[in-house]
Amino acid sequence: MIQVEDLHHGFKGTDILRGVNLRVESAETLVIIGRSGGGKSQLLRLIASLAKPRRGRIFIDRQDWVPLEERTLTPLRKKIGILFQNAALFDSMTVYENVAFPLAISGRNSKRDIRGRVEEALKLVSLEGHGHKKPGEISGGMRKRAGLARAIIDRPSIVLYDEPTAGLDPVIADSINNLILKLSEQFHVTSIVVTHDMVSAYKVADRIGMLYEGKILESGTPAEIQNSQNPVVQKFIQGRSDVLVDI
Amino acid sequence: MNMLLDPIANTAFRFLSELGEWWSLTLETLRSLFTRRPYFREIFTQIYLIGARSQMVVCFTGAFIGMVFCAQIFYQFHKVQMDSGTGPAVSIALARELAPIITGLILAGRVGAAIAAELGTMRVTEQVDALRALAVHPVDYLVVPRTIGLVVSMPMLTAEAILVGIVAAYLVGTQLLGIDGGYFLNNMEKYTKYKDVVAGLMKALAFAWIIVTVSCNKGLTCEEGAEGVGKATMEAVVVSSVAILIANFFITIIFSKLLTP
Ligand SMILES: Nc1ncnc2c1ncn2[C@@H]1O[C@H](COP(=O)(O)OP(=O)(O)O)[C@@H](O)[C@H]1O
Ligand SMILES: [Mg+2]
Repeated sequence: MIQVEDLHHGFKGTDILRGVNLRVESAETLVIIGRSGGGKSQLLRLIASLAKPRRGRIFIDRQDWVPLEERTLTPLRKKIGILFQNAALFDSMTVYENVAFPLAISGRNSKRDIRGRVEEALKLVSLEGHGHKKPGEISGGMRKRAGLARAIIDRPSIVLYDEPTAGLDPVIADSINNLILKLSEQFHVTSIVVTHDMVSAYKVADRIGMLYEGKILESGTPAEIQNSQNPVVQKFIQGRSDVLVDI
Repeated sequence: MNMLLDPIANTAFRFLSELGEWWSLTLETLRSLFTRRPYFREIFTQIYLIGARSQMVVCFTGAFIGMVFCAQIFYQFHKVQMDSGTGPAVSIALARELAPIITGLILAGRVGAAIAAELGTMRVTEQVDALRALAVHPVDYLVVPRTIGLVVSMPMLTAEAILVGIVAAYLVGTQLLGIDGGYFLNNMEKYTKYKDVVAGLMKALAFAWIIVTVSCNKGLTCEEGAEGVGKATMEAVVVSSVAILIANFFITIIFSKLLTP
C-alpha cells in the first residue's frame, strides 16, 4: 500500500508539487497522467525515497519513509522496483549483468539460479538474445525494457513505472501492458504507472489520476475519467491543444 | 559594500559547504569500511585499474625525476668536492619528498579525474539513483572499493617510484657523471634510514586518502549535464593536487618532530 499526504516539492525558487495526495491499495494499479514537466517523474522519485520532499508524508505499507535516513532506507528499498524514464542502466555492464545485478549483489543466489531467472526476465520483456550487448548498443526502447526487467527481477511488492511504453512500437508496447497486468494479477504487485499513452492507461489502470499544477486534479476509474466533466482532463485525454498554428 | 562582500561571502559559503560534504563522505566511508560487508569483486577490479594500470606512468616519471635530480645534485656537490654525497641526497629526497609528491600528483590526474568523471556521469544519468533504488548504498559499492584500491596501490606505487628513481639515478651518476659506483651505493646505504622510506609511504597513504575522497565527493555531487561532469573532473584534479601539496608541507613538519630526518 502507498499513501501520499500533502506532498510538496520543488527546486530553487520553483514549486513542482504543491500538495499531492494519493492512495494506492495493495495489488492496485494507479495510472498518473499529466503534462510533460509537470513533476510526474519527481513524484515517483519521492515515493521511492530517492529524494526528500519539502513537506509531506509518504507511507509505504503503513510506515512513513520521509523521516528515515539513507542508511535505514537502503535495505527497505528492496520492496520497491522503479523503472526510470531514461532506464538508467549501468553502462559499464551488459544487459545481462544489469538484469542480474539485483540478484548477484545480495550474494545469496547461485550462478545457475541467477542465469535461469535472468533468462526468464529477458524473455518477459522480449529481449532474449540481447543479453551480451552493452546499453550503448541497443535502442532506447530496448533499454527501457531491460530497465524494466532489472526493476522486477527481485520480485518487489511495489513497482513504479515511468513511461514504460514510451518509444516502443505498438506490439511491444502491448506486451509491456500485458506484463504490467500479469504482475498485478498474478503477483499482486502494487503499481504506479506514469504515462502519456492513453491506450496503455486504459488497459492497465484500476484508477487514473491526473497531475495538474502540482496536485492530483481528478482521479477515478478509467470510465469515470473518460466521462469527466473537467475540461482540462478532457483536453488531455483527447490530446487537444489550444495553441493554434498558422500555416 | 554588498558588491564587495557578497562574492566573498558566497565563496566562503561554498567552500564551507563543500568541506562539510567532503567531511560527511569521509565519515560515511570510514563507517562503511569497518561495518559493511565489502564487495570483493569491485575491490579487486579497482586495485587492478588504479594500481596495476598506473605503474607504467609512475615508473617512467620516477626514473626521469631520479635522473634529473641526480644530475642537478651532482653539479652542485661537485663544486665543493662532495661527489659521493650525491647518492644519499638523491635517495633521501626521493623517498621523503619526490616520489610521494610525484606519484600523488600523477594519480590525482590519472585516477582522480577518472573517478570524478565516472561517478559524475553515473550521477547525472541516474545510475547512482538506480543503485540506491536497488538497495545498494553508493558509498559501499562505489566509494569504498575505490578507496581501498587507492590506499593499497599508492604506497606500492610510491615504493616503486623510489626504487626506479634510485636505479635511474645510479645509472646516470655512474655512467654519465663518472661517480664511483661503490661510493654512490655505500654512502646511500649509510645515510638512508628506514624511517625515510616510512615517512614517504605514510605520505603516500595520506595522499591516497585525499585523492579518493575529494574525487568521489566531486563525482557524487556533480551538477547536471556534460558541463557538470567536466567541471567536477577539473575540480577533482585541482583540489586534490592543491590539497596534496598543502598536506605535504604539514606532514613534513609533523614528521620532522616525530621521525627526525
Ligand atoms: N535536477 C533538477 N533541477 C531543477 N529542476 C528540475 C530538476 N529535475 C527536474 N526539474 C524540473 O522539475 C519539473 C518536473 O520534472 P519531471 O518530474 O521530470 O516532469 P515529468 O516527468 O512530469 O515530465 C520540470 O519542470 C523540470 O524542469
Ligand atoms: Mg518524466
